Formats: sequence, structure tokens, C-alpha cells
Amino acid sequence: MAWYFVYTREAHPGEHVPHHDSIHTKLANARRLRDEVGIRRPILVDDLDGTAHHAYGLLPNMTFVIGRGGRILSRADWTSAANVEAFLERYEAGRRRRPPGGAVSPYLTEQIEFRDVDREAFYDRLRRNGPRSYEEFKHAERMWAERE
Amino acid sequence: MTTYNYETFDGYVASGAEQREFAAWPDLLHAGEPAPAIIGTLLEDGSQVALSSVWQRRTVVVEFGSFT
Repeated sequence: MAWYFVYTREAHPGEHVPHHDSIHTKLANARRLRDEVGIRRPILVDDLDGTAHHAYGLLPNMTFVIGRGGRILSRADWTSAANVEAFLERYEAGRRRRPPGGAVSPYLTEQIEFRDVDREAFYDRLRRNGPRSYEEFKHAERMWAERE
Repeated sequence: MTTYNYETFDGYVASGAEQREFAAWPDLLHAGEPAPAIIGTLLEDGSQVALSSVWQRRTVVVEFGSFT
């Protein structure tokens, strides 16, 4: 099993964590993220144009599980380590199972899951990116409210 | 600088790009389909890693993200 974190664009750039105007800025931000957050998985930095990010769908926190040979086994528009681990356990157990009939067959599922939302903790992370990151998000919240 | 690397989040939202990108997700890449081959720079040593070379041998979990 291999785990990779693909570093993309900054979703909420700010004074301290700026948007990427060069690959050097992007690499510097990726190093800072690794060191501050303590990411231990290998980090793959996407190119400046986001080629890998575009190929997989551009959302800010997606996770894909890809099987040997390159077939997508699961996708999620939000990362939950617990869900990924539960899926992997289920998938491996299912794949290896030998029922009385002697065979198993794959089938597709699609589900809605729930994640914890801690708005204040998220706002704190925005402020870490810089004051304007927080202000811009609050402005975006007003725009979303007006659209509803 | 490209539009992809937007400077301001509210500008990105106001442009409609955020709505378009989230709306596109349901029709993209599903389980059972071939994964796009991508290449990234390994932060640890600067080498180029092709995920297709990794998934030839192992299952791969790929998480996308940034600071937030």
C-alpha cells in the first residue's frame, strides 16, 4: 500500500500563505505545510498549472484509492482517514473472501457520509494563512447566502 | 500566474469558477474507471514520481490538498 499527498493550489491564500506565482512559491508552501502540520506521507507537488489537480477534479480535499493496475476503487470529495481505512479493510476482506459458491464479484456503491465541522477551528486555520484569508472567506459566505 | 492559482478566495467564488468546479464533480472519474496518470515532484528529494509506476505494484491512496 502506498499513500501520497498531492499538494495543489492554496484554497484560501493569505498574507502568510500566498497564492502560487511560481513553482518556487509552491514548493516553499508545500515544505511549510509538511513542517507545520507534520505530514508524514510522501508529498507530491503538482506543477504550477495544476495538471494533476485538473485531471482528478479540482476539489480542495479529494481522496482516491487506486488499485493495482490503475483502476479507481473509491473516490471521495472530502478526505476522511477513518473512511479510507475502513474501505481498504472492507475491500481487501471482500476480495479475498471465498464463499461457499467459490467466487465473489465486484459491484459499485455510492453513499453519502458525514464529517465533523468545526467552524471556529477552520476560521483559525484561515487566520493562520493571513487576515485577508479570513476576511475573504467571510465575504464568500455572504455571497453564498445571497445565492440561496 | 494563472487563473488556477487565484489570488483571492472571494474573487474565485465571485468568478463562478468554484460553482463550476463543484458542479462538475458528479460527472468525473468514478470507481471502476481508469485513474488518470499523473506525475508530481516528490518534495523530499525533488525527483519526479509517476503514480502509474506505483500502482503497477501496489494499491495507492491519493489525497489532494493544501493548507486549508
